[in-house]
Amino acid sequence: MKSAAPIIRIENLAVEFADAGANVHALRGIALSLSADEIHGLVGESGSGKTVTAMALMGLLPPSTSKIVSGSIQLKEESLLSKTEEELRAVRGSKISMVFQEPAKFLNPAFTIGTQIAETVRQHLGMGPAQARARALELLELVGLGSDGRVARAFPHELSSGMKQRAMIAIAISCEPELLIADEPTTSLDVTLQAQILGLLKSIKASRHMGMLFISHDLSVVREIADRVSVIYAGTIVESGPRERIFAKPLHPYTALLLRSIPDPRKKGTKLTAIQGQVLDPKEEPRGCVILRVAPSRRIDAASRNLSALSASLITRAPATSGGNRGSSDSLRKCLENSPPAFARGSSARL
Amino acid sequence: MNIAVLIAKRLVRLILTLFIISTIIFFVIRVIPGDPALIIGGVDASASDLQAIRAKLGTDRPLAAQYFEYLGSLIRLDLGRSMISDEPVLPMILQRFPLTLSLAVFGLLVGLVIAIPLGILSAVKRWSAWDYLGLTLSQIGMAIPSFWLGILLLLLFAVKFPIFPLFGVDSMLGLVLPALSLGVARAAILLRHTRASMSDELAKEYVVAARAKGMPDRVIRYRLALKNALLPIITIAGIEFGYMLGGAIIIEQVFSLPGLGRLFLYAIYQRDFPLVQGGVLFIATVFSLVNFAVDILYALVNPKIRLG
Repeated sequence: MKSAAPIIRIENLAVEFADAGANVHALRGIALSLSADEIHGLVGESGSGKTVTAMALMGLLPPSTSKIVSGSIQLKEESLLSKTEEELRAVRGSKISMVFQEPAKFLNPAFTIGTQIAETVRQHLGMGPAQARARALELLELVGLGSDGRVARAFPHELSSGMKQRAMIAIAISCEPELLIADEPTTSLDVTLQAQILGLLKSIKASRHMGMLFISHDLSVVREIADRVSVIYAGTIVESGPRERIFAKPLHPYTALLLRSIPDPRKKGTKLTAIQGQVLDPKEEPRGCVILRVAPSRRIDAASRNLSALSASLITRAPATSGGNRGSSDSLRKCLENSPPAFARGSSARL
Repeated sequence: MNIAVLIAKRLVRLILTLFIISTIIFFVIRVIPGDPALIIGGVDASASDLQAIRAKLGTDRPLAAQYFEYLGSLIRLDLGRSMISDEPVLPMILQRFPLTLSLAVFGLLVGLVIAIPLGILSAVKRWSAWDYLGLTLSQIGMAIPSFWLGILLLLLFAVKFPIFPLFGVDSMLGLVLPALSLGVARAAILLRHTRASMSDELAKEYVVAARAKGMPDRVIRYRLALKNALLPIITIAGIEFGYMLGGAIIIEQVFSLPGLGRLFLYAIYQRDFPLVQGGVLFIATVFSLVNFAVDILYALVNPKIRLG
């Protein structure tokens, strides 16, 4: 599965937010690596830390309220966390760029699409106005918005939401980034547009040789597009692996729960599995294993029984670059072993 | 929508507004109880005097005839003649207008020059020392009556340190203190609006997107967010400007400036009906024109407006 050296490697990244005196544990030590030509799906519920991960990668966590407690982010050879704001600005939009969930809000209403693309390439590639305009037209054609300049002259409100998302993708890829972060890029779109945008992202990845971190809460979308998948829960990556393996043979009980909650047309009429309980309150210091909060106890029992097999298989499978797998399975084992059975039963009874 | 179409549409609206305003002014003066001739002549005027005044005003003829004659003269830009000096009203107004216009322009400039940078600074560094300074200054600016500030400025910069003239406008120098006294109050209001509007814009998602594109903070603030933040500021500035164009009566009094405010004040004292009527119409017209300009400016700044 691994074809190239990772372009992004996150290790043991922990992020806290200060909220009215309380520490909010947004990320509790995540590990993630991603190579060029790979679409890496990051899946999790709302509040699990997906967007915080993206913002940490962009260096856009608000310095006044957030704190990176530990960990490192490597973009190829460069350490992003040791960069100054000035240096980070040169990386943003150029080496790492981002597509957001709601293009209507993330495009500036007062400037034309052409200007918004051109200003990015002028900023990073030092192009002159005419050259930047030509580049904008080129990019708009690439994302399927025509080359006659009509979209370039249009303001965001004059475009449909699908066109807006295409325009945002054009901005994001304008400087040929090494990593494109797509944060729920299709969530606000209808199903037809969703398929079109996924197709566009795939073809761009293939033609531009960039890595892509595809963030979504929607496993069925991730199954469409991702090569590898990481499942994030309560600020921890609980499982990471190739798509086929994750979907066919989830090792972590939480992943299994997530998979069972995808609607399946063949099982029409049967009740959809819902994940019990709530995502761990990020303000809480976890006592015992966080996964116990959501997993029914019999699943956990099963998981505990399989645990040695589970970690053994992950350790033997995991190549050097996906240390995250080993780390998270270790922590799961430790966490399950350290949780008194009474706590596990008690918490599942409460749920 | 094309900007030319927008201008055409707004122009039609402007002409309609002016027509309605002039009609209202006409009927208000003639239909409400009380004979203008009696007010002008006073209670002890003789019947023949009153008749002469009526003939001069034209109020002795049927209302419909008066109205159409009035509209006809408006189209010829004839606002009638002053009861006191017998001069035509429009030239009297136009002669005073440049002073009032420059006072309004400079007052607005003073307001904008103080308010916009401080307002942006306040919004960018919210709840910092700068922000509190801005808010405090704005509070003071709003609390100080402009005539008091005018007198204070005169005492300081015309009497104690005679840099500026005590009264009159023989040179542009004479406009400095009046413009300052007028501008400080505008600045106080505009600062609040700039701060609020800029804070709103800086919290929007497109600012995050701009940062994610690697745009420098300077560009994000002064170009990307400011263009959006300007909309409400333009509206407020337009309204303030419109008011100042109607003549700043108190400031003109304090600085003894021969502007529109004083002209209309004396017209009211002397019950100079044609001049008052012409003045009201003039102010209304100027206000509508400013609104028209604001509409066009709005469309230039915010492309979304062109839809409506």
